[in-house]
Amino acid sequence: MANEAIGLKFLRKMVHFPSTYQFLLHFLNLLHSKENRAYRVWVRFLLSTFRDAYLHRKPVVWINSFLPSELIYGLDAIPILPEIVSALVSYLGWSGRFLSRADTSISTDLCSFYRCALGLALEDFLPRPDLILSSSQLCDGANKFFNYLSRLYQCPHLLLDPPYSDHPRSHRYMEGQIEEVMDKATKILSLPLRKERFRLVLNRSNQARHWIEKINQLRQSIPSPFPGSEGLSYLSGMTFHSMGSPWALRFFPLLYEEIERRVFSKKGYLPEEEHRLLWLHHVRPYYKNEIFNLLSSRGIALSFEEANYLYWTPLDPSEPWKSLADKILSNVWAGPIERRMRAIEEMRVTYSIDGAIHFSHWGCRQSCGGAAIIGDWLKEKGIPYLILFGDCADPNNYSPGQIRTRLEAFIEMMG
Amino acid sequence: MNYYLAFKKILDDLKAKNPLYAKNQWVGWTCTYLPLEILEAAHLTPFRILPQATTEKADSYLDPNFCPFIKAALEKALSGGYSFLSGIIFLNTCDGMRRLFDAWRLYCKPTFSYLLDLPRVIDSSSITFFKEGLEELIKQLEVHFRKKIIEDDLLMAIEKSNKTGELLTKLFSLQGRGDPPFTHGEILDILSERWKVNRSLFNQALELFISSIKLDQKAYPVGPKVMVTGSLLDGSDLVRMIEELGGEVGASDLCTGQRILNVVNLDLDPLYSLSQAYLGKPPCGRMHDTHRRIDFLKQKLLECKAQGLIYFSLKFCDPYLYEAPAIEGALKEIGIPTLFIEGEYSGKPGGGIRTRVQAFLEVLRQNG
Amino acid sequence: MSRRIYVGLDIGSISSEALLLSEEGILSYSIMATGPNPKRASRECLKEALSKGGIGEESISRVVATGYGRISAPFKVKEMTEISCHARGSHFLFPRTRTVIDIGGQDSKVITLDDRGRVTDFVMNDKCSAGTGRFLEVMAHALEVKLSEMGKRSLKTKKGVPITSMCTVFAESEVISLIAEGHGVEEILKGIHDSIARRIFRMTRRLRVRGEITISGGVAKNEGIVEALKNLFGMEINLPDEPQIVGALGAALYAKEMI
Repeated sequence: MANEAIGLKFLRKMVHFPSTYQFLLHFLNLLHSKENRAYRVWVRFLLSTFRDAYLHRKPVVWINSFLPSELIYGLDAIPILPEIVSALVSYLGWSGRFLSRADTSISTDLCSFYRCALGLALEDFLPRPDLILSSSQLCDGANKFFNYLSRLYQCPHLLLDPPYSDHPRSHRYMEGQIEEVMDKATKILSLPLRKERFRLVLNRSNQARHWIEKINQLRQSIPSPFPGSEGLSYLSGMTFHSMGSPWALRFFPLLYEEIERRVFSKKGYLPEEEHRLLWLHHVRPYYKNEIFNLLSSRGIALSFEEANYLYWTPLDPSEPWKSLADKILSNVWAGPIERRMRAIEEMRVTYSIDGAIHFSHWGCRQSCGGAAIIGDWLKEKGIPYLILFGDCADPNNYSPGQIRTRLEAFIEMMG
Repeated sequence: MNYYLAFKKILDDLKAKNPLYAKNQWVGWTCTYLPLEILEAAHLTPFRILPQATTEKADSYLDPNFCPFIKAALEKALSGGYSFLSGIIFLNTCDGMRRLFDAWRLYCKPTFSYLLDLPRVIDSSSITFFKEGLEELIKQLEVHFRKKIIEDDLLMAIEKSNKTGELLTKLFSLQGRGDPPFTHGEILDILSERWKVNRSLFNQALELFISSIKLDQKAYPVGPKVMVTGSLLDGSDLVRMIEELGGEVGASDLCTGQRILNVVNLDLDPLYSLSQAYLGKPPCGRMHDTHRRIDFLKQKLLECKAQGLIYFSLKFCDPYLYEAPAIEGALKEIGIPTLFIEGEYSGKPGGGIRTRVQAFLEVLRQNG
Repeated sequence: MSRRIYVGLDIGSISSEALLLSEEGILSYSIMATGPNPKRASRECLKEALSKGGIGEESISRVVATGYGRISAPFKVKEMTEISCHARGSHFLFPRTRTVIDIGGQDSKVITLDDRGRVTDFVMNDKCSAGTGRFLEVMAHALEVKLSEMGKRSLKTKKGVPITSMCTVFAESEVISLIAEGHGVEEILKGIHDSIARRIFRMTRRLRVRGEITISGGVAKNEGIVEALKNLFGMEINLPDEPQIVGALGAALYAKEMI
């Protein structure tokens, strides 16, 4: 027990030590690899971001996935997404202890990303925030949970609250909210509000968006050139975390090139592609699991995932608040479920999908509540559909036998 | 004296004298942030969705790990239990309600359905936004039900609603008085009758009831005093259980209790006033401002001299589950203990809850 | 005699079955407890089925394995999930089957299939023992009634005492309280059987139950469950002569169809 406490103390010190990340960055540079250069850009992006956050030369702002990171880069502050840290920690196989820690405070019926983030916060593993700015899109947790974190860290919590409806007045209201929140944020962080900087950041975001669009187009190819399991990890990760940052402009074009090469050589990521699946829900289990290997071994490609559906149009750099309000309100997972269904239909056709898996992540009411509705609708179109119940960040909730049986039965069903 | 039965008798007499009350056009609603005055101004009768149902079917239309109230509501709707409604109005109260709105529309195909946008942050822009939402709702009602809602109708509806608020305030002030004391559980039972009749009838009955009972000004202490707050709880079962175990519920913050009370300023534009009054209510767990909510709970606890808070959360109720530690922590700082319990939406609370409440009351008794 | 024999092995956590299928139909089958060694159980089971059918190992054309222990089954050519196998097997026995209810010792499933016996949808409950054979076992113990008599006795009364607990452990406490309160054993048994049937009904996902329902799995031998399900669904339910071999039958059919 004592050893564990010492071990944890040491780990915490390392995590807070900016040079840890600098060291890892150097180490990464030493490893030469021609493959997956875009992946390495993502790792470098994360390491630099954490290094800078722990160095704390610029203000650190905690946000959630659907709060446009352009707002933070525009302020020249550092965005940290506790949800993404949870996913990373889970990927490294360390989420167990933080989840246990969180269980002493909040219910285990809640989302494990948030629970793991709470555990990380309670064990003081996260870079201290100067401000927490979250958007109540897409779930209740994004409002209430961040509020609790702000009390823990005794820092202000500002909430952007996008309306449910998408009328012109909603856009005006949203724009007004952004303006007000940014005004408050600059005062809290003692930062100036520079229009030129926002223009630059939005331009960068548009350029990144352009590459995302092209990547999405490439992925329409048959056979699938890029696995959905990676689309659900570092690709969606960059889309949530780096829009507006120069890193996005290093990452996306590189990824595009990698995928383009495969498409030209007519190489799929699987030796034989029997089926093309759509993965529904934004996340996947990040800890070690058999799901993706099992699908791949049977020639079942995860051709696309709704997480990477490009739902917004290019921003107008001269109208940052207005165009970000528009971006926020065009989110297809907000509002009535028909929006999500239309997007899924579009993806079904564009990516020649012949089956879908909805990963119902424990605690995610907003998405799982729609799984049956979407399933009924897809089944009417003759698309084989599987709801896989599981947990994305808590390996204790993963039952290999149960998941394997369901996946295999689904594969047998598809024929 | 059984105060609830006394009230019921008065109400039943009035119902008998007004048989036409049953021929209303009912429009269903789920959340107390909906200004019912708008429906009443349109001469529609609000019908509160408080289903009694098991959830065999609903589990497979939504998700098994879902709010019991939402599942029960969908279950009843799927079995045709709400086919008598001329329409239904939801608010985007929470993630579950958004999905309920979807499932209800797609599988039950109501003739009229609407979702009113409810802001989480309360300030002047959101009050204006909510008001615009009310304008939009009125337009939709006018088109669908082929009526015109004029300002006079709205003002009259607000007046009646303020009357309810006045009467309810009086009613709540009587709590704990009399011998035997008029309990909080009985007050909640009286309130449960509100949803079975229209407002005028209820106001009349309540007025007659209040003037008929003569209660001692003195309050008779019963046992350890607690306050109850939580997500939607149907009926008085939990509160009555607390009373049965020897506790006294001094105040509550419940959707089926005090949260239906509004006082609307008649001096301003009626829709703006409605928006301001409703959004200005003490925040429920779903709203953003936890600080304001904590301040409100603290104030109420001190006002009624409660020794502890019983915090009830429906299973899988994200807003209340996420907020619980913040509230418990804040109250702990001022020396007020909180009992956290999680449960079903209606019916007698199970053995586990009973034991917890009993133990909590024992601790409070001990603390003196 | 160059007879082609196709073998289906169903290695469950509690029982294992082996079934031999020839061109003419079912030749023989055997059922035995799996015990701690699934590999050995599958070998023993197959040996017994072969001996019953008067067949030697050399006549075996192909083996398909299913069930929880399918990975450890020796000499199999292919593995298929119990879902596909129960669908196929039920459809063979009752060709108009479009829904299969399989209640096993530790899990339960509802499967819908098309007119060719191919799975179109399925729901599984393997996280919770309520609604499975385990629930019956626990209750048999609490009521001190023989497991094999539970069903028969539950049918002796028309009105059961409702069991409201969702979970086996809590239901057990509830049943013990009911005994203490003086309720009759048969009334309680009826309540228990209704509770299981309701759990299954819940799983059927309001499938438009066209065609027939067939029940399979060990618990199908319990007449009380079958009756309770018939009442809930409002229709007849096909009951195989030996419900426990449906999975192995399906596996053998798949073995036969493989090219």
